[in-house]
Amino acid sequence: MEERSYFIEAALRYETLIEAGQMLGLDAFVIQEPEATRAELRAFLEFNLTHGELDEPAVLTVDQAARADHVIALVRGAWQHELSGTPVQNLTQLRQARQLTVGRLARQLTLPVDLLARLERGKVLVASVPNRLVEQLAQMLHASTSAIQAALLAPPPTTATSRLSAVDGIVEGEEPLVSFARAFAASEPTDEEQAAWAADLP
Amino acid sequence: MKLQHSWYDVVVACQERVQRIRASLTSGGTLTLELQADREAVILAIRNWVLGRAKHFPELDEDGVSEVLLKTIQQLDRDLRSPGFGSMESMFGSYVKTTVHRILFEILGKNKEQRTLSASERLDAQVGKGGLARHEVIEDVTPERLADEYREEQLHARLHAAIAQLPPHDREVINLRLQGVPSIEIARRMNLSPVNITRIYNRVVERLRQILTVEEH
Repeated sequence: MEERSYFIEAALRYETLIEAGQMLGLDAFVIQEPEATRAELRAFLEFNLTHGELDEPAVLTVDQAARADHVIALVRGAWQHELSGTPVQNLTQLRQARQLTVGRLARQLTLPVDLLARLERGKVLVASVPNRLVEQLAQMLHASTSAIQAALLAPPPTTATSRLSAVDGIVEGEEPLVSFARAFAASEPTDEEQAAWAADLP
Repeated sequence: MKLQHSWYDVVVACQERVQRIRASLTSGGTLTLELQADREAVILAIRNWVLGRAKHFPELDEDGVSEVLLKTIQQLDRDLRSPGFGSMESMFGSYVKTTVHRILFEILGKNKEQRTLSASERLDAQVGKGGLARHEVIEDVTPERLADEYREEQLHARLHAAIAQLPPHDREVINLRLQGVPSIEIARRMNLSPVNITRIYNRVVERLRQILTVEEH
């Protein structure tokens, strides 16, 4: 079971008990759960109870509605690819299948190499990736747009997200997950790269 | 603009569709075009409610809010296929609310962790049990400290001399690592896997330790 699914399922079990009229406190419920999850489960149940039901739908601006539609289109594309029966490959696999290095593909996209590498490591918020990049990746990697959308949502290579520690006690902190715009700025783009993607940055 | 439907209406409309989808997917069936349309309708129905809840948290920017929607949709799709998630058929409202809350809880927790990490590097960050700011616990220059620094400089000089004796490939790894370049980045530059970089690094550190130990005796 997915870890997140466990917490959702546990919270639903707790709500069922409460709705059935059982006066069961959080601590009494949590103590029956696996020890390793108790502290986090308690904090989450408290968060869940504090914020209550979904009572207000957002009234979206045109820009916000476009962002939401972008997210739905991304997932829809990935599902469409899955339904086609073609195996889902992540970006690294698609790139390697074309025998391209990260540097070469980045040059073809006029994108900072650090940003492309970060995208492959799954450390860029997928919802913030511009449509234009999805389309260009599809073109460069000779893949469909839906294959790229599926690749963006696919798990990244396991070695790329490993947290490594060295013998001298240096422990590398987990690389933060940031938006495309932040990752772009952090990758110190050249003037040419900046100009190429300026229209897609806030 | 006031939306006409209440959350209760949305839940009732979605629950029936969820039951139809799960009846097929959890019994080995496929997602027919009709069921795909049901899934699409559920997503569109909950979209603004999910975003409404995410907007309660000002610490989330627009990209963060989009991420909440993306993860909620992905989780919904996973759970529609999961035989063990029958509760979403009878408690769809609670299911959506709890799912959004779980995703928000994870994202906010991660953001807080990152903020704490960066705050702990600031000079005005409180350190130690006494609650002193970091700049207050930085030692002044004393003869003892100067002597320590001298010993440290000597050690650095010996270390760099030892590094110079290493093969070029190993030397490149250790020099980049000493400059603070992460292993993942070194791996990318040298076209190797991060695991291999760690192996090389561990081997080189051991070799340097041997060289320095022999020099001491």
